[in-house]
Amino acid sequence: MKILVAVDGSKGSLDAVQCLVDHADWYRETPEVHLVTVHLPVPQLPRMGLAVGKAQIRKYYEEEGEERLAAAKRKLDAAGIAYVAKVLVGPVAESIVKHARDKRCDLIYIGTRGMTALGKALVGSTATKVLHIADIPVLLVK
Amino acid sequence: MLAELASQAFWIGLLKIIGVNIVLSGDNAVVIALAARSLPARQQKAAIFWGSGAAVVMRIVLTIFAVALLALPWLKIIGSLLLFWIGIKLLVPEEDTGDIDASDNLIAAIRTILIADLVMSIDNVIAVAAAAQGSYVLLILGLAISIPLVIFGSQLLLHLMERWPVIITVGGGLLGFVAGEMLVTDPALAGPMESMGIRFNDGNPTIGEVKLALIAGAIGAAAVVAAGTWLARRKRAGPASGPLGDAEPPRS
Repeated sequence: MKILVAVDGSKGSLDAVQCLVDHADWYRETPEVHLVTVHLPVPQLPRMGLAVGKAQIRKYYEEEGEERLAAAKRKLDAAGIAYVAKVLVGPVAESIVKHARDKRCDLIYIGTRGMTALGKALVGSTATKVLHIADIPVLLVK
Repeated sequence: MLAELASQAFWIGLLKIIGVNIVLSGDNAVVIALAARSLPARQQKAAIFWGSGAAVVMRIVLTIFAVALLALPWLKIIGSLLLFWIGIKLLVPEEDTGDIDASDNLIAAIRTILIADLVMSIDNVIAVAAAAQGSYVLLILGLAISIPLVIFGSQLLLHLMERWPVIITVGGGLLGFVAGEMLVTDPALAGPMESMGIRFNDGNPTIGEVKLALIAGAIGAAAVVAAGTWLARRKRAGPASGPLGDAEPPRS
Protein backbone atom coordinates (compact mmCIF):
# COMPACT_ATOMS: atom_id res chain seq x y z
CA MET A 1 0.00 0.00 0.00
CA LYS A 2 1.50 3.29 -1.10
CA ILE A 3 -0.06 6.56 -0.01
CA LEU A 4 0.75 10.04 -1.28
CA VAL A 5 0.12 12.87 1.19
CA ALA A 6 0.13 16.37 -0.25
CA VAL A 7 0.69 19.32 2.11
CA ASP A 8 1.19 23.07 1.76
CA GLY A 9 2.14 23.84 5.35
CA SER A 10 -1.35 25.06 6.25
CA LYS A 11 -3.40 23.78 9.17
CA GLY A 12 -5.90 22.22 6.78
CA SER A 13 -3.20 20.18 5.11
CA LEU A 14 -1.83 19.07 8.48
CA ASP A 15 -5.27 17.70 9.28
CA ALA A 16 -4.78 15.33 6.36
CA VAL A 17 -1.50 14.11 7.89
CA GLN A 18 -3.19 13.74 11.27
CA CYS A 19 -5.96 11.71 9.71
CA LEU A 20 -3.43 9.35 8.15
CA VAL A 21 -1.63 9.00 11.48
CA ASP A 22 -4.87 8.35 13.38
CA HIS A 23 -6.05 5.72 10.94
CA ALA A 24 -2.79 4.05 10.02
CA ASP A 25 -4.25 0.86 11.49
CA TRP A 26 -6.89 0.83 8.73
CA TYR A 27 -4.27 -0.76 6.55
CA ARG A 28 -3.09 -4.33 7.01
CA GLU A 29 0.57 -3.30 6.87
CA THR A 30 2.08 0.10 7.62
CA PRO A 31 1.61 2.10 4.41
CA GLU A 32 4.56 3.44 2.44
CA VAL A 33 4.09 7.21 2.64
CA HIS A 34 5.16 9.70 -0.01
CA LEU A 35 4.97 13.17 1.53
CA VAL A 36 5.03 15.96 -1.05
CA THR A 37 4.58 19.69 -1.30
CA VAL A 38 4.39 21.60 -4.58
CA HIS A 39 6.15 24.89 -5.23
CA LEU A 40 4.93 27.01 -8.12
CA PRO A 41 7.73 27.70 -10.63
CA VAL A 42 9.32 31.16 -10.61
CA PRO A 43 8.41 33.17 -13.70
CA GLN A 44 10.95 32.92 -16.52
CA LEU A 45 11.78 36.48 -17.39
CA PRO A 46 14.09 37.85 -20.05
CA ARG A 47 17.68 38.38 -18.88
CA MET A 48 17.02 36.79 -15.51
CA GLY A 49 19.73 34.24 -16.28
CA LEU A 50 22.31 37.02 -16.04
CA ALA A 51 21.74 37.40 -12.35
CA VAL A 52 20.23 34.21 -10.96
CA GLY A 53 21.59 30.71 -11.49
CA LYS A 54 19.75 27.41 -11.63
CA ALA A 55 21.35 26.24 -8.39
CA GLN A 56 20.03 29.32 -6.65
CA ILE A 57 16.50 28.75 -7.87
CA ARG A 58 16.67 25.07 -6.91
CA LYS A 59 17.82 26.07 -3.44
CA TYR A 60 14.94 28.49 -3.15
CA TYR A 61 12.42 25.75 -3.99
CA GLU A 62 14.05 23.36 -1.51
CA GLU A 63 14.11 25.88 1.33
CA GLU A 64 10.54 27.06 0.91
CA GLY A 65 9.39 23.48 0.38
CA GLU A 66 11.15 22.27 3.53
CA GLU A 67 9.38 24.96 5.54
CA ARG A 68 6.05 23.64 4.35
CA LEU A 69 6.97 20.03 4.97
CA ALA A 70 8.43 20.54 8.45
CA ALA A 71 5.26 20.22 10.55
CA ALA A 72 4.00 17.21 8.60
CA LYS A 73 7.38 15.49 8.99
CA ARG A 74 7.28 16.04 12.74
CA LYS A 75 3.84 14.46 12.93
CA LEU A 76 4.88 11.40 10.95
CA ASP A 77 8.14 11.04 12.90
CA ALA A 78 6.26 11.19 16.19
CA ALA A 79 3.88 8.49 15.01
CA GLY A 80 6.78 6.34 13.82
CA ILE A 81 5.55 6.19 10.23
CA ALA A 82 8.33 5.99 7.65
CA TYR A 83 8.06 8.31 4.66
CA VAL A 84 9.85 9.76 1.67
CA ALA A 85 9.55 13.56 1.45
CA LYS A 86 9.90 15.54 -1.76
CA VAL A 87 9.47 19.09 -3.01
CA LEU A 88 7.84 19.17 -6.44
CA VAL A 89 7.89 22.14 -8.78
CA GLY A 90 5.08 22.87 -11.20
CA PRO A 91 1.32 23.43 -11.33
CA VAL A 92 0.01 22.19 -7.98
CA ALA A 93 -2.74 19.66 -8.71
CA GLU A 94 -1.10 18.29 -11.87
CA SER A 95 2.23 17.74 -10.10
CA ILE A 96 0.58 15.88 -7.22
CA VAL A 97 -1.31 13.55 -9.55
CA LYS A 98 1.73 12.98 -11.76
CA HIS A 99 3.92 12.13 -8.77
CA ALA A 100 1.29 9.69 -7.49
CA ARG A 101 1.27 8.03 -10.90
CA ASP A 102 5.09 7.90 -11.15
CA LYS A 103 5.42 6.33 -7.71
CA ARG A 104 2.46 4.00 -8.36
CA CYS A 105 0.59 5.22 -5.28
CA ASP A 106 -2.76 3.63 -4.42
CA LEU A 107 -4.31 6.59 -2.64
CA ILE A 108 -3.91 10.36 -2.31
CA TYR A 109 -4.54 12.11 1.02
CA ILE A 110 -5.18 15.83 0.76
CA GLY A 111 -6.68 18.52 3.01
CA THR A 112 -9.52 20.62 1.70
CA ARG A 113 -8.51 23.96 3.16
CA GLY A 114 -5.38 25.54 1.77
CA MET A 115 -3.29 28.51 2.77
CA THR A 116 -4.67 31.46 0.90
CA ALA A 117 -7.67 33.64 1.51
CA LEU A 118 -8.72 32.96 -2.05
CA GLY A 119 -8.47 29.25 -1.31
CA LYS A 120 -10.94 29.72 1.52
CA ALA A 121 -13.39 31.41 -0.78
CA LEU A 122 -13.23 28.60 -3.32
CA VAL A 123 -13.17 25.85 -0.70
CA GLY A 124 -10.36 23.50 -1.54
CA SER A 125 -9.82 24.51 -5.14
CA THR A 126 -6.60 22.48 -5.32
CA ALA A 127 -8.22 19.45 -3.68
CA THR A 128 -11.12 19.67 -6.10
CA LYS A 129 -8.77 19.74 -9.06
CA VAL A 130 -6.78 16.77 -7.77
CA LEU A 131 -10.05 14.89 -7.35
CA HIS A 132 -10.99 15.69 -10.94
CA ILE A 133 -7.77 14.72 -12.65
CA ALA A 134 -6.58 11.81 -10.50
CA ASP A 135 -7.08 8.27 -11.76
CA ILE A 136 -6.64 6.71 -8.32
CA PRO A 137 -8.79 7.12 -5.18
CA VAL A 138 -8.49 10.49 -3.42
CA LEU A 139 -9.24 10.95 0.27
CA LEU A 140 -10.33 14.48 1.07
CA VAL A 141 -9.82 15.42 4.71
CA LYS A 142 -12.17 18.07 6.10
CA MET B 1 3.97 72.95 -8.72
CA LEU B 2 0.78 73.47 -6.67
CA ALA B 3 -1.24 73.99 -9.79
CA GLU B 4 0.24 70.79 -11.15
CA LEU B 5 -0.75 68.90 -7.99
CA ALA B 6 -4.37 69.92 -8.35
CA SER B 7 -4.90 68.65 -11.87
CA GLN B 8 -6.48 65.34 -12.71
CA ALA B 9 -3.84 64.61 -15.32
CA PHE B 10 -1.18 64.78 -12.63
CA TRP B 11 -2.79 62.08 -10.50
CA ILE B 12 -3.46 59.85 -13.48
CA GLY B 13 0.16 60.29 -14.53
CA LEU B 14 1.39 59.45 -11.03
CA LEU B 15 -0.70 56.27 -10.88
CA LYS B 16 0.56 55.31 -14.32
CA ILE B 17 4.20 55.68 -13.26
CA ILE B 18 3.68 53.68 -10.07
CA GLY B 19 1.76 50.99 -11.94
CA VAL B 20 4.30 50.71 -14.76
CA ASN B 21 7.17 50.58 -12.32
CA ILE B 22 5.66 47.94 -10.04
CA VAL B 23 4.55 45.68 -12.86
CA LEU B 24 7.81 46.03 -14.74
CA SER B 25 9.94 45.62 -11.65
CA GLY B 26 8.71 42.10 -11.19
CA ASP B 27 11.90 40.76 -12.74
CA ASN B 28 14.07 42.88 -10.44
CA ALA B 29 12.03 41.72 -7.49
CA VAL B 30 12.59 38.10 -8.43
CA VAL B 31 16.32 38.66 -8.55
CA ILE B 32 16.47 40.66 -5.33
CA ALA B 33 14.43 38.05 -3.49
CA LEU B 34 16.54 35.17 -4.80
CA ALA B 35 19.94 36.88 -4.45
CA ALA B 36 19.33 37.88 -0.85
CA ARG B 37 18.06 34.43 0.11
CA SER B 38 21.38 32.69 -0.13
CA LEU B 39 22.90 34.99 2.49
CA PRO B 40 22.88 34.43 6.24
CA ALA B 41 19.75 36.02 7.71
CA ARG B 42 21.45 39.01 9.33
CA GLN B 43 23.19 39.95 6.06
CA GLN B 44 20.01 39.77 3.98
CA LYS B 45 18.76 43.16 5.14
CA ALA B 46 22.15 44.76 4.48
CA ALA B 47 22.29 43.30 0.95
CA ILE B 48 18.80 44.50 0.16
CA PHE B 49 19.50 47.93 1.67
CA TRP B 50 22.81 48.65 -0.07
CA GLY B 51 22.02 46.84 -3.29
CA SER B 52 18.77 48.62 -3.76
CA GLY B 53 19.92 51.98 -2.41
CA ALA B 54 22.50 52.12 -5.19
CA ALA B 55 19.94 50.80 -7.65
CA VAL B 56 17.49 53.59 -6.78
CA VAL B 57 20.08 56.31 -7.39
CA MET B 58 21.14 54.66 -10.65
CA ARG B 59 17.53 54.36 -11.75
CA ILE B 60 16.64 57.98 -11.01
CA VAL B 61 19.70 59.31 -12.86
CA LEU B 62 19.04 57.08 -15.88
CA THR B 63 15.39 58.04 -16.00
CA ILE B 64 16.11 61.77 -15.84
CA PHE B 65 18.45 61.30 -18.81
CA ALA B 66 15.75 59.40 -20.65
CA VAL B 67 13.17 62.14 -20.04
CA ALA B 68 15.55 64.75 -21.43
CA LEU B 69 16.32 62.61 -24.48
CA LEU B 70 12.67 61.93 -25.22
CA ALA B 71 12.06 65.63 -25.80
CA LEU B 72 14.06 65.37 -29.04
CA PRO B 73 12.25 64.56 -32.30
CA TRP B 74 12.51 60.95 -33.57
CA LEU B 75 13.71 59.61 -30.21
CA LYS B 76 10.16 58.96 -29.05
CA ILE B 77 9.62 56.83 -32.14
CA ILE B 78 12.82 54.88 -31.49
CA GLY B 79 11.98 54.57 -27.80
CA SER B 80 8.49 53.31 -28.53
CA LEU B 81 9.73 50.68 -31.00
CA LEU B 82 12.21 49.54 -28.35
CA LEU B 83 9.40 49.32 -25.79
CA PHE B 84 7.24 47.25 -28.17
CA TRP B 85 10.11 44.82 -28.55
CA ILE B 86 10.82 44.67 -24.80
CA GLY B 87 7.11 44.15 -24.10
CA ILE B 88 6.88 41.22 -26.50
CA LYS B 89 10.08 39.67 -25.12
CA LEU B 90 8.67 39.90 -21.62
CA LEU B 91 5.84 37.56 -22.59
CA VAL B 92 8.05 34.88 -24.17
CA PRO B 93 9.50 32.63 -21.45
CA GLU B 94 13.28 32.44 -21.32
CA GLU B 95 14.52 28.96 -22.26
CA ASP B 96 17.22 28.39 -19.69
CA THR B 97 18.71 30.28 -16.85
CA GLY B 98 22.49 30.19 -16.76
CA ASP B 99 24.58 28.33 -14.23
CA ILE B 100 25.70 31.16 -12.04
CA ASP B 101 27.16 30.38 -8.66
CA ALA B 102 24.96 31.32 -5.76
CA SER B 103 26.35 34.38 -4.04
CA ASP B 104 26.95 33.55 -0.43
CA ASN B 105 28.79 36.70 0.51
CA LEU B 106 27.45 40.20 0.95
CA ILE B 107 29.46 41.93 -1.78
CA ALA B 108 28.53 39.30 -4.36
CA ALA B 109 24.86 39.60 -3.49
CA ILE B 110 24.95 43.39 -3.76
CA ARG B 111 26.70 43.08 -7.12
CA THR B 112 24.03 40.66 -8.31
CA ILE B 113 21.29 43.08 -7.31
CA LEU B 114 23.07 45.96 -9.05
CA ILE B 115 23.74 44.06 -12.29
CA ALA B 116 20.17 42.84 -12.29
CA ASP B 117 18.95 46.37 -11.84
CA LEU B 118 21.14 47.70 -14.62
CA VAL B 119 20.21 45.08 -17.22
CA MET B 120 16.59 44.72 -16.22
CA SER B 121 15.63 48.32 -15.67
CA ILE B 122 16.09 49.62 -19.21
CA ASP B 123 12.44 48.83 -19.91
CA ASN B 124 11.34 50.56 -16.70
CA VAL B 125 13.48 53.59 -17.40
CA ILE B 126 12.03 54.16 -20.87
CA ALA B 127 8.49 53.31 -19.84
CA VAL B 128 8.56 55.50 -16.73
CA ALA B 129 10.12 58.35 -18.68
CA ALA B 130 7.36 57.99 -21.28
CA ALA B 131 4.64 57.87 -18.64
CA ALA B 132 6.03 61.00 -16.97
CA GLN B 133 5.52 62.93 -20.21
CA GLY B 134 8.21 65.44 -19.39
CA SER B 135 7.28 66.22 -15.78
CA TYR B 136 10.17 65.80 -13.35
CA VAL B 137 7.89 66.24 -10.33
CA LEU B 138 5.80 63.29 -11.49
CA LEU B 139 8.88 61.28 -12.27
CA ILE B 140 10.63 61.67 -8.93
CA LEU B 141 7.45 61.25 -6.89
CA GLY B 142 6.47 58.15 -8.83
CA LEU B 143 9.88 56.53 -8.49
CA ALA B 144 10.17 57.48 -4.82
CA ILE B 145 6.87 55.77 -4.07
CA SER B 146 7.23 52.67 -6.17
CA ILE B 147 10.88 51.65 -5.85
CA PRO B 148 10.76 51.01 -2.08
CA LEU B 149 7.54 49.05 -2.63
CA VAL B 150 9.34 46.81 -5.10
CA ILE B 151 12.44 46.36 -2.98
CA PHE B 152 10.86 45.64 0.35
CA GLY B 153 8.00 43.72 -1.20
CA SER B 154 10.25 41.65 -3.45
CA GLN B 155 9.39 38.38 -1.71
CA LEU B 156 5.69 39.17 -1.93
CA LEU B 157 5.91 40.19 -5.59
CA LEU B 158 7.75 36.96 -6.39
CA HIS B 159 5.00 34.89 -4.79
CA LEU B 160 2.27 36.89 -6.49
CA MET B 161 3.90 36.32 -9.89
CA GLU B 162 4.27 32.60 -9.23
CA ARG B 163 0.60 32.36 -8.37
CA TRP B 164 -0.74 34.67 -11.05
CA PRO B 165 1.64 34.67 -14.03
CA VAL B 166 -0.95 36.83 -15.81
CA ILE B 167 0.70 39.79 -14.01
CA ILE B 168 3.50 39.47 -16.57
CA THR B 169 1.02 39.68 -19.42
CA VAL B 170 -0.47 42.82 -17.84
CA GLY B 171 3.06 44.26 -17.68
CA GLY B 172 3.57 43.53 -21.37
CA GLY B 173 0.25 45.16 -22.20
CA LEU B 174 1.16 48.24 -20.17
CA LEU B 175 4.45 48.54 -22.04
CA GLY B 176 2.55 48.31 -25.33
CA PHE B 177 0.16 51.03 -24.17
CA VAL B 178 2.92 53.43 -23.16
CA ALA B 179 4.79 52.65 -26.39
CA GLY B 180 1.73 53.39 -28.53
CA GLU B 181 1.10 56.65 -26.70
CA MET B 182 4.68 57.71 -27.11
CA LEU B 183 4.80 56.83 -30.80
CA VAL B 184 2.07 59.24 -31.87
CA THR B 185 3.28 62.13 -29.72
CA ASP B 186 6.71 62.35 -31.33
CA PRO B 187 7.22 65.91 -32.54
CA ALA B 188 8.62 64.58 -35.84
CA LEU B 189 5.17 63.18 -36.69
CA ALA B 190 3.29 66.40 -35.94
CA GLY B 191 3.81 67.85 -39.42
CA PRO B 192 2.72 64.79 -41.44
CA MET B 193 -0.25 64.19 -39.12
CA GLU B 194 -1.48 67.76 -39.47
CA SER B 195 -1.35 67.44 -43.23
CA MET B 196 -3.46 64.25 -42.87
CA GLY B 197 -6.14 66.36 -41.16
CA ILE B 198 -5.52 65.45 -37.53
CA ARG B 199 -6.22 68.37 -35.23
CA PHE B 200 -4.02 69.33 -32.29
CA ASN B 201 -5.48 70.30 -28.89
CA ASP B 202 -2.76 71.74 -26.61
CA GLY B 203 -0.19 69.80 -28.60
CA ASN B 204 -2.15 66.54 -28.32
CA PRO B 205 -3.21 65.00 -31.64
CA THR B 206 -6.97 64.42 -31.57
CA ILE B 207 -9.38 62.50 -33.79
CA GLY B 208 -12.95 63.69 -33.27
CA GLU B 209 -13.11 64.19 -29.49
CA VAL B 210 -10.73 61.32 -28.63
CA LYS B 211 -7.03 61.77 -28.03
CA LEU B 212 -5.04 59.87 -30.64
CA ALA B 213 -2.61 58.78 -27.88
CA LEU B 214 -5.37 56.76 -26.18
CA ILE B 215 -6.27 54.95 -29.39
CA ALA B 216 -2.63 54.26 -30.21
CA GLY B 217 -2.04 53.06 -26.65
CA ALA B 218 -4.93 50.60 -26.81
CA ILE B 219 -3.77 49.28 -30.16
CA GLY B 220 -0.19 49.03 -28.84
CA ALA B 221 -1.28 47.08 -25.77
CA ALA B 222 -3.37 44.67 -27.84
CA ALA B 223 -0.56 44.22 -30.37
CA VAL B 224 2.07 43.40 -27.72
CA VAL B 225 -0.16 40.96 -25.86
CA ALA B 226 -1.24 39.25 -29.09
CA ALA B 227 2.26 38.97 -30.53
CA GLY B 228 3.80 37.94 -27.21
CA THR B 229 1.22 35.25 -26.48
CA TRP B 230 1.50 33.88 -30.01
CA LEU B 231 5.29 33.68 -29.88
CA ALA B 232 5.22 32.13 -26.41
CA ARG B 233 2.77 29.47 -27.59
CA ARG B 234 4.84 28.74 -30.68
CA LYS B 235 7.97 28.43 -28.57
CA ARG B 236 6.27 26.07 -26.14
CA ALA B 237 5.05 23.92 -29.04
CA GLY B 238 8.50 23.97 -30.65
CA PRO B 239 10.50 21.45 -28.57
CA ALA B 240 7.59 18.97 -28.73
CA SER B 241 7.96 18.60 -32.49
CA GLY B 242 9.09 15.21 -33.76
CA PRO B 243 12.34 14.48 -35.64
CA LEU B 244 10.54 15.14 -38.92
CA GLY B 245 9.52 18.56 -37.68
CA ASP B 246 5.81 17.72 -37.82
CA ALA B 247 4.92 19.87 -34.82
CA GLU B 248 1.50 19.36 -33.38
CA PRO B 249 -0.66 22.46 -33.49
CA PRO B 250 -0.52 24.09 -30.05
CA ARG B 251 -3.46 23.23 -27.89
CA SER B 252 -4.60 26.13 -25.76
